[in-house]
Amino acid sequence: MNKIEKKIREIAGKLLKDKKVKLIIGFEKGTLPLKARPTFVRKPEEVEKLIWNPFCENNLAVYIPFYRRYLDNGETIGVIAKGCDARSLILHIQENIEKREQIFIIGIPCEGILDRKRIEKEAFPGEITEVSEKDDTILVKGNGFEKTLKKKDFLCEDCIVCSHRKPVVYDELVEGDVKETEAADRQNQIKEFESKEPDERWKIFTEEVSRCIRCYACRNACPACYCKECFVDCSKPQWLGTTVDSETDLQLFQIIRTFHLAGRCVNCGSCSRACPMDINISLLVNKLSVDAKRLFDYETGIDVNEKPVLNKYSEDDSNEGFFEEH
Amino acid sequence: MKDSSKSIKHIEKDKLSEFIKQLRKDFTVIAPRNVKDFVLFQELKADEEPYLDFLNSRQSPKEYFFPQTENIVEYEGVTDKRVPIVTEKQMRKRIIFGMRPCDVTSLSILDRLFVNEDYVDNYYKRLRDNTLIFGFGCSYPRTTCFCTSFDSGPFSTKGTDVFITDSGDTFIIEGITEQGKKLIEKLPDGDKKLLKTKSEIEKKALDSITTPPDVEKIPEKLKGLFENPVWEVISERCLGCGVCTYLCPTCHCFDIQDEVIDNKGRRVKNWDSCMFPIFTLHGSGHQPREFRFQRMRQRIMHKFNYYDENFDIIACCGCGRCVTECPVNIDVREILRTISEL
Amino acid sequence: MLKSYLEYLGLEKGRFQCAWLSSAEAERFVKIAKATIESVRKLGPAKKLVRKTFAAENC
Repeated sequence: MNKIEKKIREIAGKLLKDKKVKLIIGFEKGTLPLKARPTFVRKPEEVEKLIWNPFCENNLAVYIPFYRRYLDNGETIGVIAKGCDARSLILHIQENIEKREQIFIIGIPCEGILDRKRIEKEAFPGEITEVSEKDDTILVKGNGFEKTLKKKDFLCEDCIVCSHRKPVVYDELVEGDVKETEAADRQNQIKEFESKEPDERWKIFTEEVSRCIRCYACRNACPACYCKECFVDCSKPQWLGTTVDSETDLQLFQIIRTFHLAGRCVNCGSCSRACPMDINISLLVNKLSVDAKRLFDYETGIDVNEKPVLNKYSEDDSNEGFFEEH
Repeated sequence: MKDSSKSIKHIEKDKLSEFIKQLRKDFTVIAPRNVKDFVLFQELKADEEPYLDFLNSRQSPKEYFFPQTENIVEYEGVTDKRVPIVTEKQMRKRIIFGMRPCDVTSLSILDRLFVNEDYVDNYYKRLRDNTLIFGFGCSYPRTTCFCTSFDSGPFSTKGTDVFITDSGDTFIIEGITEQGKKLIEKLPDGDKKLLKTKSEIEKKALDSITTPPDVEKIPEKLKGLFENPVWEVISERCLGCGVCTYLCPTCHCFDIQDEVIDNKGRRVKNWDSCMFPIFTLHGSGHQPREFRFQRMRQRIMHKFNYYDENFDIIACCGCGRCVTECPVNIDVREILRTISEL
Repeated sequence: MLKSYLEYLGLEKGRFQCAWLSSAEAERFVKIAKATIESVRKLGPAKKLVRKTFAAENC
C-alpha cells in the first residue's frame, strides 16, 4: 500500500463514519493487470478496497449525473479526484449539474496516467499477465517475456501536457510532491498534425474515424457528455444516419460530439482510452482546447464561479473566423 | 481409397502465401490483418499474407455473417408508389481464414436463432452458406479466455471446414468437412506424428485456461433472480456504452431504419445494443428499462437464461472480449461467479 | 471556433463561413453572400462531408 492509498482510506473512512457523505467514488483493483476500476463505497469498513496507482484511468466525474436521486435529496458525494476529474466536476458545477457543496473532492496529486494501450502494444502480439510498479518504472511480464518500462515513456498523450495535475479545487488534498509539468503546451500535441496539408489531414481524420463501430464508449466515458438525449439518438428530427457504411455519418458523429465539447473538454483522455478501436479522439479535442486558450485565454474547469467560455459574451471577444471586409 | 487420416496435411510456413493465392482464385479470403497493432478480420489485399501471429482479433468476425449495416431492400419512387429495386447479386464464395474456435462456436449459437424450424433469416443464411471456415487452433489462450466453460475449447474443430494448427515451423492442416478436404487435397500429406504434436500443443493450451467459471447451473439459477438487488451492484460502474455487445460474437440485436434521398431509398438493418437506453424507448416516451441495472440484467439474462430456454444453448462462447475491452473492467466471469454463489 | 476546427480537420479554407449580421444590414448581407459564392465556386464541388448513400427519411 502506498502513501497516497493510505491517506485516501483514512479520509474516506472518516467522511463515511461522520456521515458527511453518502457515497465515495474511487478506484479498486481490477481483474486485469493494467486496469484499476471505479468503485463505490458506502460503508466505512469498505474503504480498504480503495486503491491508487497510475492505472486509475477513468474520469470519475462521469458518474455524478447517475446519482441525481442523491443530489435531489441534498446528499453529498465524495469523489477521489485527479486534476482532470476535479476540473470536470467544476465544469458540472458551472453547468448546474451539481452544487459545489454537494461534492466532496478528495484531491490526488496525479503524476499522470499510464497508457494501457501503448503498454499492451509493447507485448503485441502477446499478452501482459502481470505488472508491478517500482519508483519511476513498471515491470511487465507475460508469456515468456519480461520488460522494464520507464513510466515517463508511457504516459498518456494527454497527461504529458497536463497543466493541472494537482486538483485546482478540492476539499481535502492528499499531500504529494507532484510537480506541474514545465512548458505544458497542448499545442505541441497537435503541431505535427497541423503542419500537414489539409487533404492529408482529412485523410488521416477519415482513416481514424472509419474504424468507428458506434458503440459510443467515447461519449459514455466522457464526463462532459451527460445530455439526457444525445443528438445521435434523436429520431425526431433525426440529425444523423445510424449506419456504419456512410463515412460522412461517422465523420459527422465525431465532429459534432467533439465540437459540443468546445471549451468544456478538460482533456482527461477518457474517450481515447475507452475506444475499443483505438481511435485517436484526443487529436480532435486537443485542438478545441488549444483554440479556447488561444482565442479566449480560457481553460476549462478552473473557477467554480466562472461560466464556460462559449456561454459568455464580451465585446472584445476574438472575431477570428468571422467574415471581415477587406 | 481414402481413409480419414489422409485428410491430415501440412504446409511449411513460407509456402502459405502460395496456398492462399490458390484459394483466392475461387474465393474471397477474409483473414486476420494487423491494423495499428491490433488485429481485425478483413479481406486480404492482393498478395497479402494473413497476420497469424495473434491471440484473437479485437472484433469478432461475426460482421461477415451479421453485418453491422445491411440493406434489406432498396426502393425507388415517391411515397405511395414505391417499387423495390431487385438486383440479384451473385455472391462470390468466401473463406474466413484463421478463425479462432470460440468465434466458430459463436456461429453455431447464432445459427439456432437465424436458421431454425420456425424461421429462417435469408440474409444471414446466404452469407453463412457461402462461407467456408478455416479454424485456427488457439495455442496461447489469453488469461481472459474461458471457452472451456462451454461446448468448445482452444482446439475444438466443431463447425470448421478446415482446421489449422501452428506447430512452430509448419502448419498442421486437417480437412474436417468434405468441402474442406477437397480444398486441401493438393497439400503434402502429414503423418501420424503431427497429430501427436497437435495434442501436445492442445494440452498446453488447455492447461493455461485455469479458472473457467462453471456455467452449468447458471441458467437455472438465474430464473429466480430477476428481482434480486445484485443487479444494482453488478451494474453500478457500467457506463452504458455498447462495447460489450458490439464486440461480442454472439450478440445479435438489430434495429431497422429507413433512409431516403430524393426518390430512392433503402430499408436498412443496423446492430443495436441492449445497453443503450434508446433500445427500449417506446414511441410514447415510456421507458421500460429506465435504469442501468435493468439493462445489465437484460444482457446477462438474455445470454445465460432466455437464450438457453429458447434454443437450448448459452449465448456466450468465452472469448473474453467484453472483459478485455470494457472501459470500466466489468468482468462477465466475475458476474457469473457472483451469481452462482448467491 | 467551428471554422477553425473544421479547417484543422482538413476541410478546405473558404468552404465554411460565418458572419455577424443584423437584419438591417441588407447591403452587407449581399456583399457577404456574393463573396461566399465566389469563394465556394473557386473551390469547385464539395467532396468532403458529402453523404454518398442516403439521408435519413424523417428529417
